[in-house]
Amino acid sequence: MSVSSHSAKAVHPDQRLIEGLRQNDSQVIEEIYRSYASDIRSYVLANTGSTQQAKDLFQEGLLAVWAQSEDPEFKLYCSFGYYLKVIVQRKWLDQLRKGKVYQRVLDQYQTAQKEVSWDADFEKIEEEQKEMAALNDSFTKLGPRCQDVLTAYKKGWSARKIVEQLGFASENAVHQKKKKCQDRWITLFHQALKA
Amino acid sequence: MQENYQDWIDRYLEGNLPAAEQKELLQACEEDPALAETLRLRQKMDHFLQAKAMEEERIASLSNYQDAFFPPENTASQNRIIPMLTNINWLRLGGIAAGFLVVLSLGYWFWNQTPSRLYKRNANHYPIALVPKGGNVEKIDIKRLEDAFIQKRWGPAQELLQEYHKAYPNDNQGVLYLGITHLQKNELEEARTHFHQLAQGNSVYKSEGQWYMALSFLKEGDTEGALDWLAQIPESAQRFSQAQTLYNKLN
Repeated sequence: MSVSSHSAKAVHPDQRLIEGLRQNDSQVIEEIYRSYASDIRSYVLANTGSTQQAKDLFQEGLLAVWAQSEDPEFKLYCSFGYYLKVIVQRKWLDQLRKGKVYQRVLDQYQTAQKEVSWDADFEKIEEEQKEMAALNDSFTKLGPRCQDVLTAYKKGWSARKIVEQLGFASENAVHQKKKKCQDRWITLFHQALKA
Repeated sequence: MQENYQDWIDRYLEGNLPAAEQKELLQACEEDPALAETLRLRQKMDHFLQAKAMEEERIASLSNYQDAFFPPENTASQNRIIPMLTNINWLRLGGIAAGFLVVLSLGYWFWNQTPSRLYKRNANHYPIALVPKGGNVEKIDIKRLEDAFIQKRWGPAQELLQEYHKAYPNDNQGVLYLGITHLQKNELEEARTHFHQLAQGNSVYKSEGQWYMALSFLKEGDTEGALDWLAQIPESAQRFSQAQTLYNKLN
């Protein structure tokens, strides 16, 4: 389910940042760093993380939002800062797994869920993030060969170029591989979503 | 109604579906929630791939901001106090040691099945025995070339094989062994150029080309690439049995 499916709610003014990312606008990227980097850094450091972890989490979170901006239908119904923080928190929880800090971050995450229900449909964001994580996990499990073929197609490479660059026997083998990889990705995606 | 939805969706996502068929597809989605869900998922995957294709470029474009907004931390504040081991519980220690041994044994087994180990076990080359036909036989020291190859002196062997290949560009055995020297020197792109030429041809070295294409992927840990090539080796090939064993281990 997409965050974008809320036709009744007003799109947040921060949607302009999503549009900026979609257009690879460097001013928007700088604005995002200026506005949110410090907040994310403080948050991670306050939860026993290091600056390096904050740095990595911020980049991962931003890349995740950037990836979502590829969908022209994607709309923000909450502030960009809130959305980014939810993503970072989820990623941080994944890294922490169990332990005292995990529980603390989880509590904060759940509190945030209650506090901002007026601002955003938290469940929708959760679903969206779960789906993105499942897409990512299942893509990783596909293995490098499938990843290369699917990405090459997306880059607009011809089947001939893929034969030459990735060392396939024929163009037909490339087409078959693509189909096989797509089917496998869908299967793995559904498995990852259930896990 | 179009039966092959996947092809239909593929063309829709590639922007190659005519307007009338697009309308038909969207209409079908309205009537069939499962198809609508499939299309939605395929669109998600498409956007995901688009982002993946751009990821390296994006990470590069963020690097300056990353360094500027997350300067290195003060290492002093990161010092950790490591507690000393004061009370030794021998029973626990024994358990840990036993567990460690089990993990070590399992680790050894898995390590033995890793692509790099499987590569080493399978990278056994048939003896080189070049038979130059006509041309500049006297200019190339075949004995020195073969000795270098047998003694695994890949650099000198490669130089001599390159000379040989120049003199006898149609000698497929020369192509194969030249490829092997590149493979041994980890020059995988060059190696694949030679193996691919053999695998695509119809000479007696075709299946050797396929086998070595598989090994080149195995060497870099690309199991799927290796499997693709192993699956093509025909039953009639000398390597068939070895290829099947390797295929089963990788699969």
